[in-house]
Amino acid sequence: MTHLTMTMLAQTIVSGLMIGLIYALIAVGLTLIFGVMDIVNFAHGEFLMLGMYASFWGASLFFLDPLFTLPLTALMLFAVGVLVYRLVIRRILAAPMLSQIFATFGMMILLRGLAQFLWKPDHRTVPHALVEGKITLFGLQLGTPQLTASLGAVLVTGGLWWFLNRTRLGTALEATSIDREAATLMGINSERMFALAWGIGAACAGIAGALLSTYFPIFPEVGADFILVAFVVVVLGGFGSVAGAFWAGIIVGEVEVLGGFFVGPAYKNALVLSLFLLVLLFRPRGLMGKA
Amino acid sequence: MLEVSNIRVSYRRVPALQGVSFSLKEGEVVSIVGGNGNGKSTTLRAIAGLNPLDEGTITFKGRDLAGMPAHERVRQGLVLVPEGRRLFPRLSVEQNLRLGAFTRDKQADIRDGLDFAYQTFPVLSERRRQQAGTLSGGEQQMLAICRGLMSKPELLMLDEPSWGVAPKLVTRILETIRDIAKRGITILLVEQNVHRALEIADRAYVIQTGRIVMEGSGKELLANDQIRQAYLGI
Repeated sequence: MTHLTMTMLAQTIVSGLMIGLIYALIAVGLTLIFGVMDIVNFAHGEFLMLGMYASFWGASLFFLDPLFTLPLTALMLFAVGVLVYRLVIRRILAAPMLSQIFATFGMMILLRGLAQFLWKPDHRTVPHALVEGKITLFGLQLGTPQLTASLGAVLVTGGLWWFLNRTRLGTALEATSIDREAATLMGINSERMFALAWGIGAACAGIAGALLSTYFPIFPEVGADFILVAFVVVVLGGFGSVAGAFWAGIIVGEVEVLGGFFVGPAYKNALVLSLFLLVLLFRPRGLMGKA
Repeated sequence: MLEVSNIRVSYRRVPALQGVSFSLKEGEVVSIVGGNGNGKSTTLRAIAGLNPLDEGTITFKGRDLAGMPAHERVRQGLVLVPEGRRLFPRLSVEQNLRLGAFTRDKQADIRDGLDFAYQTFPVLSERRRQQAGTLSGGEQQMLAICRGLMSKPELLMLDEPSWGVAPKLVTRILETIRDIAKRGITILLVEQNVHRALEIADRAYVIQTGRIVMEGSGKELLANDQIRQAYLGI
């Protein structure tokens, strides 16, 4: 192989890693919600979309960079998650699975429709982002926004892992996801844990949206591009496993980008979905899922 | 301390408890004995707030528990160590213990609970970083009891602590239950192992098809002919 193709391959692998970390951040939120209460949130991509718009409006109305407003975006999406739990999910906790699917699916359509109605279907971009352009590291050209976003994603995912495994509240959330009734017997209010899971899950998607907003077009259906991949990541990582979703996110990012490199960009979704089918066929519980 | 009066509980309209009444005084060790499927576990679950009452009342320290959610009862000092232990298998021994103290805010209280657990059962200290699911049946029961004590309960309810435990360890666990009682914690014990349960109890109730059919001191019931024939096979 020539030096040029080697560099291109390395460049591709790093791009896969960078987008994979974003996928991981989106998927950990989804898998957390599922793990704690066995509900699949079809509106997860719309939380991401809301995070992107929050960043966009912050930048175009108040001239604040998305990285600067990120904590605020996270808080806002946390509140949205808790609100969705209180207004919608709490009412369907004991409902049949089909009702639960339609409730979150309906929310997806509602949020998309609202975004189109309020903010027009146009593609938008954040004006004058703080981080832009490219830097050269070890002979590889990396987009600064992409690099910043992937670093942010690692920090947030790592922080979430630390929270779930090392803090009292986080362990209580884990305990609720392992055995709800046993957690109740520890004095843990499971309804509060559900609300917390929705808050954190939505905040993760919102942060991913904020990180993406500096280099990805913002439009009402943007969630659709990511939710499909996020589902593949959740299944590959094992439903409910945050650590699994992290590694699976990177794998899916690599499959997508390397597949694009070797086979052709047009096939990247086909490759990702083939991976999805293979996981379902040969290891339905995923990499780190509960048996 | 605990007053259960005429409670009825059903699962999917099938009655499980048909008017159960009994009471516990502070500092007592009371056993409820009876065969499988007679309502022992249901009684404890109803007191813990896991199963709703169709009828009747439960008062704890003079306060009616109606409408109080299960997690709040733990805060009031009412703790259940459930049937089958229900540990969090993929969390460590110490994480399980710390979760038991979820309602406790003071570090000193948590320290106390951990010290008790590790001194009483040194094996738990040796395995504090190990996943709870990898412990033996007896060790898991020790952990479950210690986890229950972490919240400093006033009333500790134990559902079949001898279940899945090697006979030698059963003795050890029952001794520990007596020790816990000596520390001033009231104990309500449910057991299929009737002989053992009557031995350690101050008083006991016999439950049959969802009703209390007999009561007396542990010694009286051990000497009772009906009990000896029905449960002890003597």
